[in-house]
Amino acid sequence: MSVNFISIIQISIAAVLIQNFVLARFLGLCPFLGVSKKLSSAIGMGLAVVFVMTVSTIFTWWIDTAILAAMNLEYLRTIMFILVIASLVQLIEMVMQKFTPALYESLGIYLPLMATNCAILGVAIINTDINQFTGVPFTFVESVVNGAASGAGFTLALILMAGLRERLESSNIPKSLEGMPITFITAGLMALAFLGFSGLSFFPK
Amino acid sequence: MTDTIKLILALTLISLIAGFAIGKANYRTKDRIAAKQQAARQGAIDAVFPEGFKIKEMNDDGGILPQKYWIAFSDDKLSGYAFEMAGSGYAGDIRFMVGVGLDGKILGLTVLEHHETPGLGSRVNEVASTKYIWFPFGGDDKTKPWFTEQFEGISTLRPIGVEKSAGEWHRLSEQARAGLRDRNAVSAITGSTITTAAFTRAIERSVSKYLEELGGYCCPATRKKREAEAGAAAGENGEETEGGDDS
Amino acid sequence: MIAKELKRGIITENSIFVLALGLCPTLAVSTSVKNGLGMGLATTFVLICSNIIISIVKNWIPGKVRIPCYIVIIATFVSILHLLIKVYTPTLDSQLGIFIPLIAVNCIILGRAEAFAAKNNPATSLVDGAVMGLGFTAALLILSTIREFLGGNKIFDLMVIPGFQPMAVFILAPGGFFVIACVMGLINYFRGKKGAKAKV
Repeated sequence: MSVNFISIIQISIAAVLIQNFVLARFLGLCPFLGVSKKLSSAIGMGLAVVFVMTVSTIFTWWIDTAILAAMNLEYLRTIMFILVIASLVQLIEMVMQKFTPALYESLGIYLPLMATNCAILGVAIINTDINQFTGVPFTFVESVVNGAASGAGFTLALILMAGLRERLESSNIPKSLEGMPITFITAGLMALAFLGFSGLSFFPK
Repeated sequence: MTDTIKLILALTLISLIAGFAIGKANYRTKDRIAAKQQAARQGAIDAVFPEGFKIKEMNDDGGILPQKYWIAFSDDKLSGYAFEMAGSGYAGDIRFMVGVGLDGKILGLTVLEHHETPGLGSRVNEVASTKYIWFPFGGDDKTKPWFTEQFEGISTLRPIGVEKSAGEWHRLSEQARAGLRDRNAVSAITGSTITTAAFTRAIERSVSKYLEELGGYCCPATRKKREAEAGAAAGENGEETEGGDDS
Repeated sequence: MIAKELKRGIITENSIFVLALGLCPTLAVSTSVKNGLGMGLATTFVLICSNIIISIVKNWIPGKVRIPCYIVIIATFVSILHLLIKVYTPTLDSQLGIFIPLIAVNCIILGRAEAFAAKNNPATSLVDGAVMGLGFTAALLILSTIREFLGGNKIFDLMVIPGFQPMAVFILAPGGFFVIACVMGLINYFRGKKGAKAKV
C-alpha cells in the first residue's frame, strides 16, 4: 500500500485547523458545550474522542469498502456505521475496564456519550466521500489519519473552550447572557479566529 | 446466561427487521432515483449546447478521454463536445457538465451535483433575481444562473483566472464583463473562492487535454484514420490535404 | 389540550432554545430558510415515526439493550427518509448532505424516545413527537430567517431590502453561533422580565 505523505499532511492540517470539526463543520457540538466547563474533564473527553474516532474509522472504512461498497449495499451505511460505533464503544469500555482500570477511571464516564456523538458518525461518513486533496476516494491510511486528526481538532477546540469558560466563571456577564448564550458568543469568536485558517490553501496556484 | 441470549436475540431481531425494511425501501426507490439522475444528466447535456444542436453520446475505452463524452452537431457539422467533470469544492465534490466548441471556447456549463455551503458556495446555481419578498410576483427572473453563464466564451486552452476584486458577474457592467472575458477570467462568488476555483481548476486540468486528443474529430479513432489518409495523400501529391468533417 | 401541548413543544420545552439539544444540525443547516424548513420537517418525520414504534415495542425490548435498539429503530427511519428525499427533492439531499444521515444521532430524537416514548402509549407519543418536532422546526425557522436575511439579504431566496449590503459572516460558522446566542439571550431577557426563573 503506497502512502501519499503530502495528502496526509494536508488532511491533518485541514481537519485540525481549516475545517475544524466543531468550529467550521458544526459536528460534535453537544459534547463541546456539555463537557467544556472544566479543563480536566475537557482533556479527558478530548482524548476519548480521539481514541474512539481513530478506532472506529479503522472498522468503518473496512466495512464500507469490503462489505457495503463491494455488495452494493451503500443504502445500509447509516445503520451499519451506527451499529458498529455503538458496539465498538461498548467493547472499548469493557476492555478498558478489565485491562486498564486507571485509564477507565479517567475516560470511562465519557465513553457512553460517544454513541450519539455526531462527530464520530460524521467522520465515518466523510471518509466514504472523495478526498478533496487527491480527487480519489480515501485510502485506508488517509481515512485513519482523517479520523485521528478530526478528533484532534475537536480536542483542540474543546480544550481552548474549557480554558476560556473557566475564566468566564469569574467575570461579570449580563444576566440574560449567562450560561449558554455567552458560551455561544465565545464559540462564535473562536470560529471567527479559525476562519482565518481558511487562507491556508493547499490548492495549486 | 439465558438473559444474555435474550439480549442478543432482541438486538439481532431488531437489526434484521431494520435491514429488511431499508432493503425494501431501497428496492422500491432505486429505479426512480436512477431515473431522476439520468434525467438530470440529460437535461444538463441539453443545456450546455445552444439550441438546435443534435447530441450524440460517445464511448471511449479510457486512456486520455473519459469513458463517456458527448458530441454535438449543428447543421450536420461537428461543432462541440460535452464532458462531465468533477472538481473538489469546499465540501465534497462538485460535478458539472461543460460544453466546449471546436475552438476551445466554452459553450455552456451546468452544475450536476454539489454539496457547498448554503448561501455561499451553493450560489453556483443562484439565478440573479430582482424579486422582492414584498412583491414576490413582480420583478424579472433570469433563466440561467449567473455563475455558470459567465463561463460562456471562456477559452479552455488558456489558464482561467479567478477575480475577487471585480465583484460578482451579475452586478457588473457590460464593460467590466468584457474586461473579464479579455483576461479569460471569471468572477468569484463572494466568500467562496474555493468553490469557484474548483471549476476553473478542473477545466484547466482536463479539457485542453481532451481537445488535443480529439483534434477536432468526433473520436480518436476517426482522427487516426483521417490523419493516416492525409499522410498518404500528402505522400502521393506532395501537398497537405485538409481533414474532412465527421458526421 | 392540543394548544397546551403545542405551547409545551414550541415554547416552554423548546428543544433548541430551552433544552439546548440537537445543536449540530441546527447551526449547520440554518443558513437558509429552505434548508432549515427541510431539516425541521425531516427531523419531525423521524421523531414521530420513531416515537410511535418505540412506544409500541417498548415492552418487548430488554432494558439492558434498549438504547442500541432505539438507535437502530431511529436509524432505520432515517435511512428510509434519506431514500425518499433522494427521490422527491434531490437538491435538498445535496444541500443538507451529511446532515441527513446525522439525523440518526440527533440527541432530540433519542432523548424523546428515552424520556417520553418509552413510558407512554403510541397516541400520546405521536403527539409528543409532533409538537417537539414542530418546536425544533420553529427554532430552525427563526434562526435561518435571521441568518439568511443578515447574511444574504434574502428570505426564501427572495430579496428583502433593496441596496442592503449583506454580511456574509452570518452565513458562515461564526454567525451561526452569534445568532443563536442573541436569540437565547433575548429569550432569557424576556423570561427574566416576566419574573419567571430563567434557568438554561
